[in-house]
Amino acid sequence: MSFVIELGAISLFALRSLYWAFSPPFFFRETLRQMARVGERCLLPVIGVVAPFGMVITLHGLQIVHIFGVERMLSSILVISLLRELSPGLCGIMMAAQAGSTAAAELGTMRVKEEVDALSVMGINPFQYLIAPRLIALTLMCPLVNAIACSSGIVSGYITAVVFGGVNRGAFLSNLYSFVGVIDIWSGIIKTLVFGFVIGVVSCYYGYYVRGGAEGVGKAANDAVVRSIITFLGMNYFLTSALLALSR
Amino acid sequence: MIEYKNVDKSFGDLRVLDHISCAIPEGKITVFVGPSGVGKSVLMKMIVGLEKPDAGSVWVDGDEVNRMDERGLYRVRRKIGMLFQDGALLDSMTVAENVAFPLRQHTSKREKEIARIVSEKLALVGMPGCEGKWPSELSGGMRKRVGLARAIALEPEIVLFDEPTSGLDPLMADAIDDLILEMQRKLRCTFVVNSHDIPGTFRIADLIGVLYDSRLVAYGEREEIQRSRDQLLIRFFSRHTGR
Repeated sequence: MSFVIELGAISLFALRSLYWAFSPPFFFRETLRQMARVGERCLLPVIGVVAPFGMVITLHGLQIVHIFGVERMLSSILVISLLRELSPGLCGIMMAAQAGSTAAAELGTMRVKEEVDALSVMGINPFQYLIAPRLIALTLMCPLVNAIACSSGIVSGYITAVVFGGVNRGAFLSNLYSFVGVIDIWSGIIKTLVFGFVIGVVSCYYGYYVRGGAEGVGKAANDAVVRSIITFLGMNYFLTSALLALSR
Repeated sequence: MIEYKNVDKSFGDLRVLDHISCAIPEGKITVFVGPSGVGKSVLMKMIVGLEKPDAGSVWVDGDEVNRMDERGLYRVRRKIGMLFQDGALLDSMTVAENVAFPLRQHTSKREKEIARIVSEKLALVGMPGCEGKWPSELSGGMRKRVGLARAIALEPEIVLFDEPTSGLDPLMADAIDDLILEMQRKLRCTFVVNSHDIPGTFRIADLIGVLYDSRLVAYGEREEIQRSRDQLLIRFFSRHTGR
């Protein structure tokens, strides 16, 4: 029962955040600052996870394509698995761990130190100044970071296949996008937009409504990471079903 | 004028405020005293709508703040400045940026003019020349002073002080009390102060409200409260002042 109540509270928080995000005044500079921070904090860790996965997929792929003698298919398998699932999922998980936890801890600390109340008393809506910039930054930066990370996964896969695996360079490159449709590109963009939004809402919710002192802030950061990952990975099933139906 | 009418507030089973009624006059320093956890901060936060009463009402200049929506509250809050217990400075901004923040958000003043006001307010609270410092570089007393400079940056009609001397040594507490008196003389606006510092309260207050056991057990002019023969007040003040 408490799960349902909490889900309802988070949904209401999301609606309230969206309402204030599109109501003036707009804090463009703060939003850009948050976007830069998210990019700076997340880009390398996400690449650090996606690139090795590109290599591992290629290693597994090499074994299979050798059995069936379809080495030219290797790059297609790599690109489709990265574009559709691996890169968005890993990017979301790492962004929740890096940027989501930061947002929750920052907002929680500001709440404990009465900075959120101070903003309200100064006539500045915390939803507009604190929540909306973080929500927008996470939503917009997730696809961007994912695009760069996905490219790094393809490059690492290329190195593994061509340099270390002996796959023909021309065969790898010519089939890179053979089975990739527009829907696969959109799939990655839509999924990461949704994942970023979910991370933003869940992280800001737990940070904004933190209770207690340092212990409460720690718990909020932890809850933000775990629950946002569970939420967007759960939603991923329905998103994938819908996107696959669209691609038929 | 600020007015509380039969205000009740509970957190779960804990009754914090029980039928509080009083009117805070304009242009005076009103101090609410009472032990820690008696609900002084909750009472103060009701003025700016950060807390809402379970029953009763809170009025600020004819507006019933407990019934206002968010937009209405932000309108009322623009004429109120508040000093929080630890200053509540925004840690990601320098001292100057903290004081300038409400000016940048609510006025169309040029940066040069804002810088002049910031210097003027910092000098008023005894912190000249510390514009470039970060909140983490300041002591507790200095943070409160900067918080006060920020609270008065927009020259509000009402200034709220939540425990301005808590956690400070006696000399610094005296300095903050002096500052409150001096600013009230200069600004002539309404000051509402929460405190559990009884000697300081007798120095600065025009009116005193005593909160005890969730109730407002006494409210009136300072001299009237000091002369009171009420046994509870005598016990309460003698414990703190050795009277």
